[in-house]
Amino acid sequence: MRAWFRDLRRAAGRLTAGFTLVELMVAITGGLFVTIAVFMLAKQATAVYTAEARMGNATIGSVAGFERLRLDIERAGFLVTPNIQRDPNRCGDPVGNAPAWPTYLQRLQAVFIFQPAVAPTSVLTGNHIIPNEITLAGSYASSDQFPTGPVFDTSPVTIQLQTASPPMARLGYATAGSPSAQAALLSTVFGASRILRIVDTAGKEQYGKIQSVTGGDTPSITLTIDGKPPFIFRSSATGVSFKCGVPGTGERSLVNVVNLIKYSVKDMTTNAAYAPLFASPVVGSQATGATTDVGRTELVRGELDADGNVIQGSEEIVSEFAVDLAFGISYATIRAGDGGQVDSLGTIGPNSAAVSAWAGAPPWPAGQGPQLLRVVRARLSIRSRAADRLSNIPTIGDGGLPIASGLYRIGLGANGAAPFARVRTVQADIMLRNLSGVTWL
Amino acid sequence: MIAKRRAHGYTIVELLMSLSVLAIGTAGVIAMQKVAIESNRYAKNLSVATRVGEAWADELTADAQLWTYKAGVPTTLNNTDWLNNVTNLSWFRPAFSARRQFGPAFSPLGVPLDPTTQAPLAHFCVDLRLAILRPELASLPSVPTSGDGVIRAQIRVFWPRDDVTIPPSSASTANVCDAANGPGVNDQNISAYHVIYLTTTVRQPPQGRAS
Repeated sequence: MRAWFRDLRRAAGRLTAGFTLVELMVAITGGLFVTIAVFMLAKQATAVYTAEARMGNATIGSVAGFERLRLDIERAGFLVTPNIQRDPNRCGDPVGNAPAWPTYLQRLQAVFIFQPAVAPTSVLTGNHIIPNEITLAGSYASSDQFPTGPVFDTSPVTIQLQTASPPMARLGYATAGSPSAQAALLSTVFGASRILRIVDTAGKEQYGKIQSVTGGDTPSITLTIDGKPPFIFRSSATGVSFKCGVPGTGERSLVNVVNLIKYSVKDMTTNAAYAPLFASPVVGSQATGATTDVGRTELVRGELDADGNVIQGSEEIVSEFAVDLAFGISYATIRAGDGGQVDSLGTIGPNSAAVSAWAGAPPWPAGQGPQLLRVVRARLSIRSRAADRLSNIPTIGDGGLPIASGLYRIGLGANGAAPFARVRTVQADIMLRNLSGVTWL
Repeated sequence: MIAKRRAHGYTIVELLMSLSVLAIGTAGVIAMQKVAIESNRYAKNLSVATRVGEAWADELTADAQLWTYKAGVPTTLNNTDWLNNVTNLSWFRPAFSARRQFGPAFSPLGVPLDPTTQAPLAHFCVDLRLAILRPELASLPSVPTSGDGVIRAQIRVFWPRDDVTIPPSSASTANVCDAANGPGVNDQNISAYHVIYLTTTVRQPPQGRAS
């Protein structure tokens, strides 16, 4: 028994003697290999998850941005003429343009598609991408037409609003605490420098540029003092000449605001309001050390005034890392002598120069024009923030897929070279429901 | 005795068990990567398919612009590109319209394809099912104008599952939008496809309206 305890103590002594140097080196070496393997696996897994998360962001960005664009396009033409230069209900002379109308109001149209000649950044130029721009006209700030009180033929023209009307009730005008609060409330709809549409009791439309609004018991909208465009009273010499104009005192006319909404892909790095967004650029995971935020562009929604200038503070980023925006159209052709019926529908694909004959700036060929648009075919492309691919997918310019460059991948290097970021592209046709009944030429 | 066993190092069983645990862990990480990539791809396909379905809904609404009558002729659907299939009560594959540059086949980006030249690129395909909810009144000779017809349009957008191979049919290349492919008139082959459904109503425009 004593010998057994002695053997046990010796065994215990060996156990507490520690590892030999060889055992230790072998263990450390083995552990090092395992650690390296685990680290590489974790690094690779993290890289994959990061890349996929960024693609997920691109997918969400494309869907969210496209839905915003879609809703705005669907609303185009709401409570506004689809083409002021040819509208038979218009009162005034934007075509003669004398005296000079506000620049955009003079050619007001529900949908205006512009195809710039130059891309906003060298990255897009290197990838042969020049995004389109679209300007939509409609009553976006309100769904109401407000009944008027008297219209005062003063300089500037002042249009009084009825306070006891459903639109004013929906606006919450009566419950606003003071005249200044009421004016602030009114200005959320009838903002300064926006376009005002006036429909008189004869059904004729006039347009003006808003200067200001006032609250109180007799709320009013004041148009710009320069008289551009001239406001026409039926009894005036101009009214007699045009055979239209606000009759009598102008009471019981209807007014609504017209907003001009512009979507474009642009560089926002110089916009001070968004400076924090560009404060920490990302280095591409497989790039050559170049920051992949360089040359980035965003899908931007802004509001224009009656002259076509961006209203300060109205621009907002709808989708980050947008790289392309393109529009096609479907249009109606009307056969003369057929009761104003739609004879046929035709389609022009995105980026075709032929789009401008229908949705571009005036003049338009006879029988064509923006009032005959029926569908906008919109396409939006958003890239992943990181450039995680070293090669491109050949497209139509490279003898590959018959699609435009930049819809699958976009090169962030010089002249569209590697590294490449993956791109999410969505496209859909959007019906212009507010233009569906327009058949005048 | 205990000390002797420990001095012998790890047994082969212990080694295999530890390697197995490591392999399972590694396989789990790799499998999760695959799931993440496939989930992303499915999310992309789902968003594109939704846009395709919405585009079809709006194109059918636009198609109703042609649901009119010619002078002296009763109201007709013959002018339309797709709504004239309303008598077909089962799912059908709409034809490609050259004048509208729109049809059943779409690329992975949701771009409509011309099947005569771009069929192999098709990734999404569309079937329709139309039904008259309210007939057009112009079928009554006593009604001089019309504009009350309503059609219900069901839209089925489908694309093949990753583990399914689309067989070539009459065409030389496999194409999801070949006539022989798709979930079928009664959804009998639906297990081979991802499918989304949309429903909309299309209204005949009032005649001669101008706004």
